[in-house]
Amino acid sequence: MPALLLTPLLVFLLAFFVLPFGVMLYESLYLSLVQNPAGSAMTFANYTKAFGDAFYLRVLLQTVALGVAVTALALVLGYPVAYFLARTRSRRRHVLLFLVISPLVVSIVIRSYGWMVLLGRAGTVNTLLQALGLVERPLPLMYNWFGVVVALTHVLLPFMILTLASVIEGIPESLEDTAAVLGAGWWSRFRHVILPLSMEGVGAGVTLVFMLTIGSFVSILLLGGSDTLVLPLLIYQQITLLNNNFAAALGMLLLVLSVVLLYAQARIFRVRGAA
Amino acid sequence: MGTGTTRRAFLRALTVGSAGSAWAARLAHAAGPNIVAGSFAGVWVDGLKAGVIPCYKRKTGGDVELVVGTPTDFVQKVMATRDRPAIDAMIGTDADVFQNAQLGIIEKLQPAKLPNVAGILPIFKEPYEGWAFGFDGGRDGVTYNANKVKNPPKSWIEFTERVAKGEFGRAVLYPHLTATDGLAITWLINRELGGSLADPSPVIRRLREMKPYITKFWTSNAEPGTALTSGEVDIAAWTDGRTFGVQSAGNRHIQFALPAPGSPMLTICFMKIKNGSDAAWEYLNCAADAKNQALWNQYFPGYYMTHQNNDYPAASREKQDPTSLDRSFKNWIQVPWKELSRLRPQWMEAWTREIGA
Repeated sequence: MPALLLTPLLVFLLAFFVLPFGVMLYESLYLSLVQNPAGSAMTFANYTKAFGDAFYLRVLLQTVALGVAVTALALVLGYPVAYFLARTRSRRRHVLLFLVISPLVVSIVIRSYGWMVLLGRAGTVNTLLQALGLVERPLPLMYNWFGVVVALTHVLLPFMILTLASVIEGIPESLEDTAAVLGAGWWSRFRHVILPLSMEGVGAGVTLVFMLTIGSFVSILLLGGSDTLVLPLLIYQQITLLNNNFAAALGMLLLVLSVVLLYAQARIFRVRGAA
Repeated sequence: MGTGTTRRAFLRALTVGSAGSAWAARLAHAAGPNIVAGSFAGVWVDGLKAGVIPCYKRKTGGDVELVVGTPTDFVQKVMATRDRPAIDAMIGTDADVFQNAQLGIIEKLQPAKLPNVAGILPIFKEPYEGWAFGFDGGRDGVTYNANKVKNPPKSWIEFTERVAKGEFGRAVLYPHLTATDGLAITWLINRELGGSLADPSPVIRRLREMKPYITKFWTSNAEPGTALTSGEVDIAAWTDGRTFGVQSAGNRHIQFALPAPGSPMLTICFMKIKNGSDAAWEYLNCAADAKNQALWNQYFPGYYMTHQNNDYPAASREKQDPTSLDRSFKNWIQVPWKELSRLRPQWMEAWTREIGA
């Protein structure tokens, strides 16, 4: 009977994920009408091109590298905040919680334009740095990887923090107290008690942020430059050129990347759980 | 009692009213065919509502529902609904015309249903081989911040050389090849550098030299305006009409220059979608009317129109290129759109590999 409760979700996923996924897979096995106006037979040409060409593999690597950079930054910045949120008894906790989720309240386009105002050549940061005499010329903070990483970390940080905080909250404080009584210092308590017990949250947060990063589009389009070519931008370019079939193959590549990561996460934590 | 009577009267009135509304709606529907047409957003819509759409309503009694987006959006929609297309008529660039013809999603123009097209200047009909007619266009040139750039480039080649030398610093915008302006300007520079349609390598080499100083390859036509007015860049390859828009918003220091040998001719065309409503012919005919073009032009001062009898509004006339006014179009360079749109994927491939995003 409880399985019936899953029915609406399964129907939804079937209609809006499985079927479109099937269409995308099918489309990826043909050449586009732009490439081949007479129509093509079923072929793996799009995959051969995507996997067999050093250029597309470099774009794939850049996409993964961006995912790793944003995820690492979000983890380093997010963990202390998540720990504080989980442990604080302050009445102002909800204010901090609101500040954490505030990036998600603002539309992605408005948020990106906000970053432009801050990071631009004549933006707030450069104006301030120049006024303080710290730099002579404006620093290139935008239209490059730096701007993209900053903007994506800002918007994806809440996903890391909220995921981690919910797991840390579930770790009994008494364990930390016991470790302290036994002479463990702050770092030792963190390393031997909190971190191992929160690894499941770290895994979930890392997976979530990484997958959202490698699928990001608008922030990279608006804040990136000519060097920040990642898979979603390449897919967009192909759709603009009506090369939908190759775009579908690249979409499959992105999907495979996500599935591999999910599988790795599940496997790592199953092994840890078993241990 | 009184209440019951009132309630009955109210219900009767409601029933009669509903029936009347339904009847009126049926009559309205029967009065004329409604069509769906693709349009760019914003002022473009206002321009169509000023002349073309009222004309269609007058002629047919029907209405036009505008779908706002880009030509790529329209084509994707039509490709997904080819037998009963979601759109009956669309606008697009010169490059879109031949691409759409190749995809088999547009119909050849039927002169009998489009008497106004006879008045369109030949240079805005003949290149399209009967698949579309031109409606309006603007110049591609160099827009610059006059406070920073005192001596704007006199030619496209000079522009690329000075950018590549870093003369303007890392404060330059250039259109991406996915934008039709980007394709047109890049083709022209390639030609000036001695390249050919089959060989874009001269312009790709030059763009690689320019790349360290190009802040961004713009993809949306709105980007250069924001970048120029915010001080992010000092110079951009952009369009005159958009520049005039920025100037009229109080930015008098933003100026436009037309580099030699001129502007690539880039026209927005009207097309009838295959299997779409036949009533769309009347919509196209209204778009080919000189008066409706002039009404549209009041929203886009400086853009040229394509009808031979077009009388530009005064505000537009003073911003027009003189060679558009005398109909000689000497400042304009015809782009080989048919071949270029066919070769666009190869050019794009070279661009993506050598230049990047």
